[in-house]
Amino acid sequence: MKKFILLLFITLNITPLYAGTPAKEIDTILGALQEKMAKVSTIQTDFIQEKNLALFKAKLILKGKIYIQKPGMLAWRVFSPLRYTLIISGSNISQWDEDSKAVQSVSMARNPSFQVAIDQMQNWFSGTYKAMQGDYDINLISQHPLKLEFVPKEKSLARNFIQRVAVLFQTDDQYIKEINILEKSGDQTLLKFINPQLNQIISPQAWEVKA
Amino acid sequence: MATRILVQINSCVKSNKKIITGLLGLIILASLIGLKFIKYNNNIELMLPTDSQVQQSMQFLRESNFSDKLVLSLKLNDQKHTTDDLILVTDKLADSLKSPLVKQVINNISSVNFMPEMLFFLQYSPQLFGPETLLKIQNQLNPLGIKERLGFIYRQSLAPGSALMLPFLRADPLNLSSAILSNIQKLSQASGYDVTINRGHFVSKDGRATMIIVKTAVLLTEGFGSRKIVSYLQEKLRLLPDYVSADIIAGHMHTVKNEDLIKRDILLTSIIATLGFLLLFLLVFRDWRAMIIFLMPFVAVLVSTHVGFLIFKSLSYFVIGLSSVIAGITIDYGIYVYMAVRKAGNSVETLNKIIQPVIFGALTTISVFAVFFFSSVKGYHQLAFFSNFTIILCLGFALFILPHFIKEEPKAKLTPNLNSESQKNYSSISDRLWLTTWCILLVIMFGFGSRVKFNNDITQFDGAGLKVAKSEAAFHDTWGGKDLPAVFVVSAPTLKEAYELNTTVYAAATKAIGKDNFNSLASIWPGTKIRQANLNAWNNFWSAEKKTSLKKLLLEEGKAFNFSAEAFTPFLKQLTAPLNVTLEPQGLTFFEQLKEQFILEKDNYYQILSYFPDQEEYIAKLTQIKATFPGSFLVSRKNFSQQVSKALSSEFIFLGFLALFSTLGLTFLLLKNLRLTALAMVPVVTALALISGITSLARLTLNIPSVIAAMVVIGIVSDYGMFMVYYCKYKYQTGTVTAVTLAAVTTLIGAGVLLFAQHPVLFSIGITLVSGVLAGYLSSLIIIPAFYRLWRSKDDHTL
Repeated sequence: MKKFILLLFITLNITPLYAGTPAKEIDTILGALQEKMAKVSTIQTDFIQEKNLALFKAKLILKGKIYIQKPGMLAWRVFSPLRYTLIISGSNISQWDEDSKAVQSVSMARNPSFQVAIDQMQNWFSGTYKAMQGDYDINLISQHPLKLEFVPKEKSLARNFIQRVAVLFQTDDQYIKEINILEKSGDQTLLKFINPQLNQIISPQAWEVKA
Repeated sequence: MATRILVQINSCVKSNKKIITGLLGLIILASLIGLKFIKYNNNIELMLPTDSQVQQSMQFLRESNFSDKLVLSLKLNDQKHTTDDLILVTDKLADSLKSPLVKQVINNISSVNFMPEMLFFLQYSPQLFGPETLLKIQNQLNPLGIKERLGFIYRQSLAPGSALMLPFLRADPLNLSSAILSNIQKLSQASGYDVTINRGHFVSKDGRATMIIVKTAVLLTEGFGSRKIVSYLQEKLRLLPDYVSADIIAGHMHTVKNEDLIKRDILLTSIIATLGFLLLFLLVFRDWRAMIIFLMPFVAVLVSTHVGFLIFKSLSYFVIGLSSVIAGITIDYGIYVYMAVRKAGNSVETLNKIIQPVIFGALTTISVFAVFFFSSVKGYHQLAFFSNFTIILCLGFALFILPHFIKEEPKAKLTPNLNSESQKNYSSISDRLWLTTWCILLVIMFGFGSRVKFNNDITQFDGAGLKVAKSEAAFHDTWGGKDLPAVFVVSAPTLKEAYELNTTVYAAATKAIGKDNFNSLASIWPGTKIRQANLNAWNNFWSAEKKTSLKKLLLEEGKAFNFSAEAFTPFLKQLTAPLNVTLEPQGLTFFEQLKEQFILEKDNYYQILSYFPDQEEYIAKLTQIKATFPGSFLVSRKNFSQQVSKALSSEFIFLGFLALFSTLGLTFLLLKNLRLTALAMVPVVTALALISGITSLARLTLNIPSVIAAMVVIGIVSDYGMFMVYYCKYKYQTGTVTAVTLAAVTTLIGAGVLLFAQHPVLFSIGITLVSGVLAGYLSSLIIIPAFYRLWRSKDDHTL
């Protein structure tokens, strides 16, 4: 009986922590975020990405810059440890790195799995979280600063490789501060955005794959 | 002898007129009531030859996985709503589809285990790699080769979204399996449709349409069942919100629409024909008794419908659709008898004078229809029986019953050489002018006719209508699949044997048309023999030294990239403990989904399908390969039309000649003179010239139904030829010209109403019949007498 009471006590106390955030509240938050993001046409930000991958002995730290121009353009430029560029323009992807010095072009239409990954990334960076409700259960972790947790839904393709994603916003909620991705394999990636600039004109050079 | 029988029948009918009238009344009543119980058949197979290849293709299409599926294509109508809104509506609709008619509703596929499944499947790689892969490994097993690959993997880890790729790179650092993965992707798209998977749902590329697949127990050849399932789904679609519209795409829609159209056509043509006949009799004959002539074919068609149903168990709509034409033909005998009796009175003498041409006229038409009994198409057997039974009934009625209901015109007498037309003075110049014009017309028409093309595409007979065509066009715009691939089918008693056969066929087919053009399950899953051989070769290749060497290379070269010691464990596991050879990979949803598309399980055998572009060059090459594999066959829309055409063309040449010779033979038997027989053939030649010429000028194409109609025209217009030659020779005052004219008019009414038909088969028959009968009639009235007079005036008084 004592055990039962203890179990009941634990259950009652723990359940609120794991219960999903009321849908209405999340809807309001996501709606407000989406409204803010709708006013943003360009984003450029420095980033630091820390990757804890089983592939590597130690943490892999990438430093670079991200450029986003709506609709459908994204540049991912890594400066360290190796210069690497990935440009997305519509359904075309171009990659370049200083080691191979070769430009590789990929059509997303021909690589559906690649498209899934890119779509995910664009959604995270662009803040179109309301559209992600179909694929993820979204929970509010904290209001100030705003922190959301995304857990892939049962039938979602993202469930194949993502356990959960935590998104932390800047104190003024203007843009993302951190995205922490816990993969199904146990790999973990933390992406920190530094000095994000919204609605600033992006230099045409940013879209040059070899730059 | 014949006269004695005629007298006996005549007196018997005369004395039992009331009983016969009562009996006929009862038959009509019973037939009308019985119409409710007649089953009709809209099955296209009934109209296809029993050629083994054609039947094989039809059986495949009937029993394949496509024939029991209906696709619901849902589309967003406004820009306000999103793909997510559409997916919600799709799920709600799918959940609501609960009916005994619905076996399964597929609106999403599980993609949850997509990555683990792919990674697991790669563990079968040692069985799937051929000697070329081992050669590739051999070339890579050096510091430079390994360094290059590891460098690539390192760079991929810098990309955003690398989480999706890294597990594959760890399991296959040497990039050996990319061909297998791309083949899996290719196979999943082999159906020819552009489908993306969004939250497990079938979503169009633009995200504005979703798809639900409904599996039903109703085969698309079942008219009644098709109507029920289509109505059920239409009812459900009416409940969709305003911002979503939906189309049903399925063969069942064609079955229902074709049935609706042909029913509508039968009703419309019957009403028009009835009104036409009524007007004709009321305005021309002005005798209420003439109504009996109209009733005669009506009753005969009714009775034939019942007898035909008893014999064939169900009647083809195509045959019933032709009933107005058959009525138009069979009414002729009544007209000939009516005209003769009105002019010369109801006497055995009168009947004796017309009985020969009437019977021979009927016999020529019967012989033309009878040749269809020699066809390999079951539907034509129905046509032959139905037509001939109707003709025989009408003939008997016209000769033995009708005369007793007709009142003789006052002062009518049967005397030779008193026919009014025979008294007219014809100049040989006008006759020559007519004949010259006729010859020129024949040359011109045959000239145009030589350009006419034969269209063997059976889809031209699909009367599903504009709405269905629009829905399908919109569906193809959204989902692709307009040019559906052709199918290469292999069959074997066991699944294991089927896999083996499929593997051998794959090797031969890809050699002939290239790997890119042949989507086969063998590209990712060959038979056990080849996989066992591959596995043995793999195990032999990976000697202990090679394994150690590779591990060492990965470790050494990986240091530069800071790779961990466990970085490529998934791959190294395959070297030490590869999976055993089994018939199929177990527990993989994606493989089961592929099997659904590529493997058909029958009662006592298996079929494995491979897909290739439906193009003539590929069909030709694969037909040669098919010949070396007994039990295998090709299914393609183009090939199917060719098969039907090939099976029917030689048959129709034979049937056409048979019809022509039987007509010639019977005409000769009646006229007993070669020149007169040739003369009686004038309408036949003219009709064929006009049919081919008009078809070409109207930019139409010849097709099998129009060829059948042309054969029927031969039977009809040869009657006109016979009667006119008979009249020219004997000059009996039995109203021949009027009778032929009325016969042609009634036939033209029966055939002309088909020009109002919307169903392409009936319309095509209508064009041929109208042009042929009109040409035959005019030539019999103008050219035969002109020819006859010229020949007679020259030298031949035997004519």
